[in-house]
Formats: sequence, structure tokens, C-alpha cells
Amino acid sequence: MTMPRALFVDDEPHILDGLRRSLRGKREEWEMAFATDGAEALELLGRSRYDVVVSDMRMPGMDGAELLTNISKLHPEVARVVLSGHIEPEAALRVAVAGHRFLTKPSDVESVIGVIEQLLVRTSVSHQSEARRIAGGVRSIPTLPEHTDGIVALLAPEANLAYAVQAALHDIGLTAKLLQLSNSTFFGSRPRNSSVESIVNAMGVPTVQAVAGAGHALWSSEPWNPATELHLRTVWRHAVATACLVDVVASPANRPHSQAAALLQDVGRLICLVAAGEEPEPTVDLAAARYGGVPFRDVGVELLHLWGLPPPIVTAVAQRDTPQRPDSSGLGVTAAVRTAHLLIQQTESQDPSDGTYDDELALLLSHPQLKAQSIDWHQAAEKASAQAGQWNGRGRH
Amino acid sequence: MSRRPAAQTGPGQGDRPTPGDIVNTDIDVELLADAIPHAVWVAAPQGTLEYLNRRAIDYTGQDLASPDTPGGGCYSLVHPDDRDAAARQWAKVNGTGAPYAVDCRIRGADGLFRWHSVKATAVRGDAGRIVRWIGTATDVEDRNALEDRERRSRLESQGDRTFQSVIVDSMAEGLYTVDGDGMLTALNSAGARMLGWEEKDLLGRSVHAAVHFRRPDGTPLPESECSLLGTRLLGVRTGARSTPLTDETFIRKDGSTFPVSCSAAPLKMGATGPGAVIVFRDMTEVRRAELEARHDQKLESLGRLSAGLAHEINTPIQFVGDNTRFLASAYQDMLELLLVYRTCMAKTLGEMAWDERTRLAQEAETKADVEYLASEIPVAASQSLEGVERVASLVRAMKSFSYKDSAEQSYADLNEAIRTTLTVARNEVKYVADVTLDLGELPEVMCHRGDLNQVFLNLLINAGDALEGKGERGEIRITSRAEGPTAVISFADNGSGIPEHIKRSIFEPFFTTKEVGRGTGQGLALARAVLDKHGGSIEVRSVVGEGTTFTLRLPVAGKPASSA
Repeated sequence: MTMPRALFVDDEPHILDGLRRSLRGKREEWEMAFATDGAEALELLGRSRYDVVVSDMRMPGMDGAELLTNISKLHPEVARVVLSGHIEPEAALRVAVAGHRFLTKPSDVESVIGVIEQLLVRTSVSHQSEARRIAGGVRSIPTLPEHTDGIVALLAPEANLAYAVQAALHDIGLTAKLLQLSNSTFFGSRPRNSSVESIVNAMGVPTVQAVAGAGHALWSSEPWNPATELHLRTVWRHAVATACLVDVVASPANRPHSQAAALLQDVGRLICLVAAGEEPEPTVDLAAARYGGVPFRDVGVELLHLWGLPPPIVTAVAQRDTPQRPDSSGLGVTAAVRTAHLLIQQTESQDPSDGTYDDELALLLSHPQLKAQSIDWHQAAEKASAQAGQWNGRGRH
Repeated sequence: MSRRPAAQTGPGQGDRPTPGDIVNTDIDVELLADAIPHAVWVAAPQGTLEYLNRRAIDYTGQDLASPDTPGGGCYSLVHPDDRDAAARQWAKVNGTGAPYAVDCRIRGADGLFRWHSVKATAVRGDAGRIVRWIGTATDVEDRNALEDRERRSRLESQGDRTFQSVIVDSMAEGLYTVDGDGMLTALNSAGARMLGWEEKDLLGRSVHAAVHFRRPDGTPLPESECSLLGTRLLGVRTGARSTPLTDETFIRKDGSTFPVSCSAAPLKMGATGPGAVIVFRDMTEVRRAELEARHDQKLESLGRLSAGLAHEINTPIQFVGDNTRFLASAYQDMLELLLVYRTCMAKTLGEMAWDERTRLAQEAETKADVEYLASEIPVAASQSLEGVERVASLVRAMKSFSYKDSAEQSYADLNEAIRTTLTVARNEVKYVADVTLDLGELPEVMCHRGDLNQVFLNLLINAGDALEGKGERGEIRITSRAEGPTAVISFADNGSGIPEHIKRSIFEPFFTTKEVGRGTGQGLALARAVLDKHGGSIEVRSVVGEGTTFTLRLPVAGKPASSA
């Protein structure tokens, strides 16, 4: 087995020397290369395979944001880490869409090693490198057609904090990006429970607008292919309805992660359709939920892993289609999301080939945590579906 | 000459005594009458003149009392405009016998009319009938003119005073006047309000001793060094008109002080002779606003600097930390190696073969990678020390840069100030430009160092910004030279240059071409204000497409005294 390879880029040679020395303990496990500017880094990447690149942000000539953007296009399979001493918000937002993980200088070597080791892990069992390549190239997740107006309203100068929270809670891309950013020390201290609401409250409207705007700017206003658009509308409505319902299903402590996981459950489908849309001959199999032979879910999970989202969210998304048997002590995020997903699915016109999960659902609903609440879950699901439509109406103003 | 002396009228002509009777002496009445420097006359009730004294005849040039004089009559010489009034009065007193008094113009021998005050007393005969009038006519032309002038000037000066005092008292500025000894002669109400003194409290007292006796730092300010008094005296001597505005500190009645901007002008006339008028304005609010503007600008550039400074500090801290971790693990490796050596040396190994010992030691050396450690440890140590020095020098520069000026100027090495500014702002320019320092011999300059640091920073950041869109790396050249008594410092960039239509506005406050968040447009306005304060100047020379040079000129000895 070949050794993993990491590339470090910084215009300050002393920084590279320091990293080289302090990472010496890893010399038996990794191969390491060092470059003092972006052009040299691209040359090295062109010559041999790398798994991770760790780059400074501000460098003369090609800066970190430009370098990482180039890498995302030329070498999407390389995981991108920012290691920077810069704290200006504008510069930070520029790399917010270019990097996967963000580290601030000074970072101790254990943090650097920790992040690199996480990124060396591929989540897909059967399609490691393909899932990494598809997910790695993603810099921002487009807003679904159903929610474009919601983002436009968020970007308006008069948007307030309450609206920003709602807009973020209903936008797959923004939720994922905010969780990604808040999970690094790069943008200040991490909110305590990583709920999207607390992240938005901590960041403030202007920063959220800037993040949303930076992501939004990457996407052309070109219309989707009509069939894809219809499909994406359904995906979005299902995600939002599940997120609404899981708010009731999950225990209070699990709500933030459950909501995020519910919203992000089909992020893989979304990015695969986007990637396929850019190809002349798309190899998407909607029925099999595969893109180029890679399951949508594997791509989505790989993306959430690359972006460093909290593990409970990544696990819940990974296991959404896996039958759950929670033990009686607690339902957990994964089972809560699966329960809400199955309930919402029942309210929709199902494809019979998906099979039915009535038995599993009955078992889940008989879980002590859910049984204790005197709620008609099917009615609650109908209500959540209706709510998803209502937000849409509000978003359109 | 045939004149009938009044004395000759005789006592039998009336009950009342004639002049002769009144005097009742042997004195020649005619002589006496002639000696009186006023016209004396005697007339019958119907107006016929019966007697005129010498003075009267000399003035009119004719003897109207003589029956030989043609066209006689007492009114023939009275000014036509006054004739009616005089005649009316005559008729009236002839009825009542009250004293006659009228002012009228009488023609003299030279043909000119002069004002006379004419008075007469009735002489009654038997049964109280008026038999004649004895009167005088006094030339009042000179007196009238004097009175007129006095009255007029009194009225005028009253009007002026009223007008002036309304203006002076409604002025927002304080105003006071002093005499040649510096004693207060007037204080307007705005001045009284600002100083807390009533005009009456200070009248006749030394203004300097009351409101100007201390310097801002609390030390006494002797009258001999008072610029206001000095300029006043100088002004009176040389006839200078007024002093330029100077900044002073005045003291209120309660002892508190406030900054004023004032000017003095010599007063050549006044109730008490030459003196001076001093106008002053309370600058407290102005100074506060200036301070706030400067503070804002400082915060703005600090906000911009802090991001760069964080980077400049975080970078060395990152590699010093990494190196230290390496040194710790290298020490561990070396220690393990040492322990192996010690084991090899131990007696307990007994008869162990030399080969065996060498093998053990070599194994340990390979494991520790001694060659690598031997070459890397010194470098890691020296780079760490270098990083620590980088942070230390940056912190020193920050401290020096943020030097807090006292109100007083002090001597400073401006070359050092430029290097300091460059150190703290290096991160602002290092990605866009190479900075060349061409610093010549400069004497220490009397200045507010903190303010000048701010000016250097603003110019450096502007130069960096001018090079931002250039595409290639630019150059910033900072030069300093002494030109006689002037320090000349210039900041030149080879950036985009300033278009002519913008050049006019660049020194105006809040003018900026930078995008929102990059600058509030106070940098150059502040630079100009600081240079003005130092008695220096700032000029810009710019060619679009070639670059811009800002040139600062500062008097080495500090701002010249305002009286010079």
C-alpha cells in the first residue's frame, strides 16, 4: 500500500521548516512535500498524486484562495486545508468556498495531524476515490429552485436575524456551509451546540449574507433541465418536511443535529445532479440513485465528512436508508431522522418499488421516547408536509 | 460823530435809573459801555434805536442810532429768516414788560451774519409805562458752533456706542479691550460668560493677571512672556494692524482653564489712550471634535493594521511552536541515544565484545537519526530565536508607533519613526510592493511624534493601495533629507497616479476613492492638519500611470512662534 501524501504551501520558509520538523514523527506514515508558492504547488500536484494540501492564505502572486480554487478544479480528489494567520473576514470568506477545513495560525501540530488524518479517511466503502473526487470538487451547494427566492430575500439589505435563521434552516447549501465554517476555529469560537440557529445568531446577519452570497455567486442563473428541476423540488420539499417533523420526533438535545441531518439527507443526490448537469453525457441513474456508478449517498456522506460536519449528522445521513433498531435508552439522531423520513415518505406518492417500511416504522413509533408523547405521528407528518409548502410561500414574498 | 450818550437822557425821563443812574458814580458811562466786549443798545418801545456802544458800531460798521443813517431801524441788520421771530418777541414783551431774549443772526460790517444772543430789560416811566429798553447782543457764533459740534458728536458717539455695544454684546466671540498697561477697559457679555468674570469685576485690573497667568501645564506665565501683551505693545509701536490667530489657554474665575483661539489688534484711541482689543473664541468643542476625528482615523487605521499585525505575529508563533516541539522530541531522541551509550559503557556488561557495543550504539544512532538531529537542532534553535526576535521587534515597533503625544512637542528621530511605521505596516504593503528606504542624515525634529507616525502610516497605506491593482509588484520609495532648517520626507509610489480632477479633493475630509470599509477619507485630511500644526506643508505630485509622490516639509526647530 502506498503511503498517503500531504503537500504544504506557505510563502514563509520558516513555517515550512517548522512543519517539516514537528511532523517528523509522521515520516514513517506520510510522504510530505513543501512548496513556497502556488505555482510550485500546482506543479508538484501535476507531477504526482496527493491526498491532502495544507495552504497559507495570503501569499504573493497566487494567493491561497486562488490556489485552492485551482486545485478544486484540477485535482478535486485532493482534500484542501487552509492554515492561515489572517483574520480579515473578507479574506476568510473568499477561502470559505475554496477550502474543506480551516485552521488558524498558530495551530499546534496535533491539530494539523488530526485534521490530515481525518481527511485521509474515505467514507465510501466501495467507491472511495470516486466519491472523494465528486465530493471534493464541490465548493458550494447550489440553492434548490424551490428556495432561490428565500436566498434572494436573505441577501436583501433589510433581512433581519429572525429571517436569516429561517432562511438558513431551509437551505441545504447554507446549512452545510455554516456548519462547516462553525466547526473550525477560523471564524471565531465555536457555538456550543452547533445548531444552525445559534451559528446564525453568533455570526450576525452581514456575515451570513456574505457566506450565502459567496456560495450563491458560484452558480449561474441558468435554468435547470425541467426534469431535474421537478425532481429537485420534490427532494427539497421532502428534506424540509422531514426537518420540520424531526423537531418533534427527536429529543431536545438531539434536535439541532437531527434537523440538520434531515435537511442534508439528500445532499449527495443534489451534488451529483449538479455535477452531472455540467457533463455533456450525464451518467446519472435516478432510479438506482447513482452517478457514474457511485451511489448518491456515498457522495453526500463523503462531502459532509470532507467539510468536517459533526459526526452525528454525517452518520444520520449515511444511515438514512438503513433500518434502525434503537435500544430503549434513547432514540438517537440517526433513528429520529429515519423515523421522520419514513413518516414523511408515507404522506408522499411513493414509488412502490421503494418497498414499504411499515413494520420498521411501527417498531420505531413504539419506542418509549415516542410512545410517551400522545401524538398522532401520521397527522404530524401531514402537518410538517404542509409547513414545508408554507415556508416556500413566505420565501417568495 | 454825534452820539447821544445814554447818560444824557437824564433822571427826569423815568422812574427807573438809567445806566448812569445805576452806576451812580463819576465814571464816564459812555467809556464804560464802550469797554464792554458785547454790543449794548438802548431802544424806544416802538423799536427806534437810541444808543449803541462802540462794540456795536464796530461790528455793524454803522451807527443805526444816528438819525443820519439811512434805512435805520433795529431789524435792518437782522437775518431775514430770523426777523419775524425777533419782531414777534419784541411786540410780545412790549405788552408784558417781560425780559426780551432772542437768538438771531446779525450782519456784520464784513457782510457775514453771525449768531447773537440778544437780551433786553424794559425801563418803565411814570405809571409803569415802558419808556425804553436797554439791551445787549452777544456774539454766540463760536459758542454755537462748538455746541453744535459737541451735540452732534455727542449724539453720534452715543449712536455709535449703542450700535457697537449691541454688536459687541451679541457676538459669540469674547472681546475685551485693555489700555496701554494691560488693564481692562471693556469686556463683552460673551467674554464675561466664558471667563466667569463680570465686566465690573475686572475693570481697571490686569487682564493677564486674571485670565492668562498660567500655562496649560500649570507653570506660571509671566507678563513679559505673554504673547498677547507682547504683540499688543509691538503693535502699537510698529503700527501693525492685528496679530494672526494664536492658540492660548485662558483661566476662568473658578480656576478652570479652556483653550482659546484669539487675535489682538492695537487700539490707537480710546477713553484711556492707546491700548488693544482682543477677540477670543472658546475652542473646547472644536478641540474635542478634532480629537474625535483623529481618534476615529486612528481606530480606522488600527483596525486595518490589527489584521496584518495578527498575521505578522501569528506566523513566527506558529514556527516557533513547531520548532520547540521538534526540539523537545529531538531532546528525547538524544537522551535515549545517550542512555544506550551509558548502557554500553556500564561495567555490568562485563566481557561484552567491543563489536557488540559498537553495534548497539550504531543501532541507537540510526534510530535517533543523529545526522539529521545534529544538522536540524541548531537551525531549529536559531530560527526559533529569530521568530521570537521578530515578535519582540514588532511589539517594540507597535509600542513606539502608538506613542502617546503629550500636548508639548519633543525632539524625535523621524528616520526611526519611518522605520517603525514600516515595521508595523509591513503586512499592508509586502504583497504588493518592495519598500526602499533612502533615509539621509536628519537632525532630530521638534514635533508631535505620534501624530507624524500616523501621517507616515496613512501615506504608506495609500501608496500600497495605489499599487494594488497594478498587476505587477510595485515600488514604494521613502526618502528623507535635511534642507537647511527643514526636514523633507517623501513617499513615492509607481502606482496608478491621481487623476487631475481628483487631485484637488484629496486633502478634503471624508473624500475617498476607496471602497467602503477600506477607508473613510480622513487620512490625507488628517495629514494636512498635522503638518499645518507643525508649521510644515504637504504637497502632492502625481502623473497618471507613473505614480504619486507626497512630500512633507517640517521645520526642524518646530513650529515657529506665531508672532514671528
